[in-house]
Amino acid sequence: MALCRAAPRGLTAAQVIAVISVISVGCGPDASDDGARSGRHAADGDRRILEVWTPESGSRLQMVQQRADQFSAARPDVKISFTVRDFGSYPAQLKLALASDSAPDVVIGNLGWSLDGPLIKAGLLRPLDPWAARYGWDKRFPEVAQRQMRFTVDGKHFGRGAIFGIPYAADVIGWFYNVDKLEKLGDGVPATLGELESDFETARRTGEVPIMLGNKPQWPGLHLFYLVSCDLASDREINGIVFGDRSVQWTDPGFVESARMLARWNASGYIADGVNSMSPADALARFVRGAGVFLPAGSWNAAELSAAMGDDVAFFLMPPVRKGDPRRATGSVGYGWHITATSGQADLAAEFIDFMTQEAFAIQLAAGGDISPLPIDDAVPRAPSRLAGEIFAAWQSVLANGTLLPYLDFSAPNGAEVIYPTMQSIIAGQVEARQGLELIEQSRKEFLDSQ
Amino acid sequence: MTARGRRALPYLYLLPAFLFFVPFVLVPFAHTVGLSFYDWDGLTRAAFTGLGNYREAFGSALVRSAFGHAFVLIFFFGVLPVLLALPLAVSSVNASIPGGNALRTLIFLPQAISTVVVGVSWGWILALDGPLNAGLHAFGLDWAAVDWLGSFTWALPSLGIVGTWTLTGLCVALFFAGLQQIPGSLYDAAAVDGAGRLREFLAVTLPGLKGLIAVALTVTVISALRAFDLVFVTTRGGPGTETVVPGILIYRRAFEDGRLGSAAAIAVILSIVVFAVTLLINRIADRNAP
Repeated sequence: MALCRAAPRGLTAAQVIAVISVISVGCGPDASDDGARSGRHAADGDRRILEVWTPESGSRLQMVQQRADQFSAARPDVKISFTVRDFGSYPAQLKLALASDSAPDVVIGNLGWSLDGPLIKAGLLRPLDPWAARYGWDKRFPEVAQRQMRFTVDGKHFGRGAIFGIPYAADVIGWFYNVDKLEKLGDGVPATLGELESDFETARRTGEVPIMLGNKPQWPGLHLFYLVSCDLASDREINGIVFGDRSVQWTDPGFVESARMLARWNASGYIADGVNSMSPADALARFVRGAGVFLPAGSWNAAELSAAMGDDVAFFLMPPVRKGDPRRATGSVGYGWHITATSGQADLAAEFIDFMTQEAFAIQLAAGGDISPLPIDDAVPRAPSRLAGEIFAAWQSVLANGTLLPYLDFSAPNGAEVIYPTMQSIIAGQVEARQGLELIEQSRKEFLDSQ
Repeated sequence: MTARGRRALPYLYLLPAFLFFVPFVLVPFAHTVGLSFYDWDGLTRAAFTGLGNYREAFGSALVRSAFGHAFVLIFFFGVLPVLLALPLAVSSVNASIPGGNALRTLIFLPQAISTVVVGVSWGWILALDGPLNAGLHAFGLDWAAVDWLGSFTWALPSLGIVGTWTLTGLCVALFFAGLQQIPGSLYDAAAVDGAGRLREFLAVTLPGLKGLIAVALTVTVISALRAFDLVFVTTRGGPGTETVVPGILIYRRAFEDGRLGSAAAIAVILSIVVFAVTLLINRIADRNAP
């Protein structure tokens, strides 16, 4: 048969497999990415090109790009080339890009173990101390923000060591509330945890939903836990969990009490029905439509809320246990700017980072309704809405008082597998608080041991 | 043709498929198996851990419960659709109702819809204030209206029912085709022997469909074991860990937690379970073959 004879006689199956394997390996992650050109010798005519990666979106991305345009205007010999990736897939894509032969020069990371930790461990980012001294980065930011910028050079300890990331924007978790509805409850803005709880009870009795929350992706429940633990756990406990202090555990009394309080809130009917199947976007939409007195959430929701509700929505930080005590809040100085290890134009990259993190940009962010790690005197009058002004004032107080606390899930990289679902089970009353926290502590211990 | 040529011929027919199978299935699978013996975050140098990832997987209550959930889904994705599809196919092949073809198309339709669309739609149907609960309230069954996908008790069975809805149509289509292959003379013989409807079903229809039942079970059981997209879209494994399936763990460990070796080990275990279960189904079908 003709077909048979056409087969190349000498070719064995093993050879075929070998050839195909080589082809398929060539298609693997090592192969160069489409858009990423080499930052090392990149040039566009006479202009040098600085390759920059970011996961930002919306108004913040716009402000970052506008600021970068101002940099290019001041340095006409430099072109900033942005690569924007969506937040969800950014960590995986950035890891591939930095491990490739054509890594960008400047990248935005993410605090803690989700992104910065692995990148530093792999030697893909540079310690920024030489430039920090030159540009005064080590003094520019408040002490409380400094810690989130640091990592040991081996990538094994978060919160100390070299400066690796320079922050430019910030976020804080607090309570948004429906101004009308809270007024009708009659007690004014709660000044203590006790007053907040009694507002929940009054709201429930009058047929309102006290706490609007969408916990389908499971992390929003932990945000509720941040709020309560700011009151019931100590600075030492919260910082200790995040920065790897083994003398502190998730099963410490402050955390157990916080977890029990959330379970009690849920059992008392303070949290919206259907919380576990509702997305945060749905919860926000319901809140906008007038369901729910309080919405526990991050400051990044402010623009959307004030656009939809105007002055009918306002914001406060977690009220303290004792009236008049300074308010503590969970938040971060956002993600930092990093210089990649392979960038051949690190000095230029540092100059760019300095420009992107100066007070002038902090003022631009404030005018855009966003918050930054720098204290600004007249930020509140600049704010584009009442809500943005309130958030800015709250944020400034946290910076000034040194009462900013880090996100507890920076403690280990497996939030999605252990911390979030367990916290959801605790809140729902499926797992007793202490038992659940033991499970979370066990996974944290395993992570610390593996470091 | 020479004897050697004759022996080579079947392999030559296989060659085109093989050319794709090797680089896109076999090589990646071998790569995954290799990876499962390492501790690797995707960036730094991988450390050989031998069977460490497998020990961790077998020792982890979460991994075990994920496989447990997958086996619950086998009932809803495989067993239930086959049980529902058999009477549907048998009754529709005999009855010549007007619009019968359109009806069969409708039953098959869920199979043609992307799982993501199915997930989003059912997420809406099963919502606390969704149409299902609205219907229950309308009938005064207020006690039965629960937050289906947010309930620690009902989330997994709810996902299962979505799978039943999706896969029953596929089984009906398969069985319908199979029924038309059964010679009419067998039914005539059964009638002559005085068999009733049930007897006829057990003695003629069921043996005639055995091969296709095995096919249907193989396809549906595999889709239950590798369920990921439906869970990812509807519950992401929650509430708590009630709907965590192996696919969700593999995704999280590989792409979120940077534990590629561990993810690979679970993937290998899952592949072995899939092989074993499909082999078992086909063995049983072969043994009972007429």
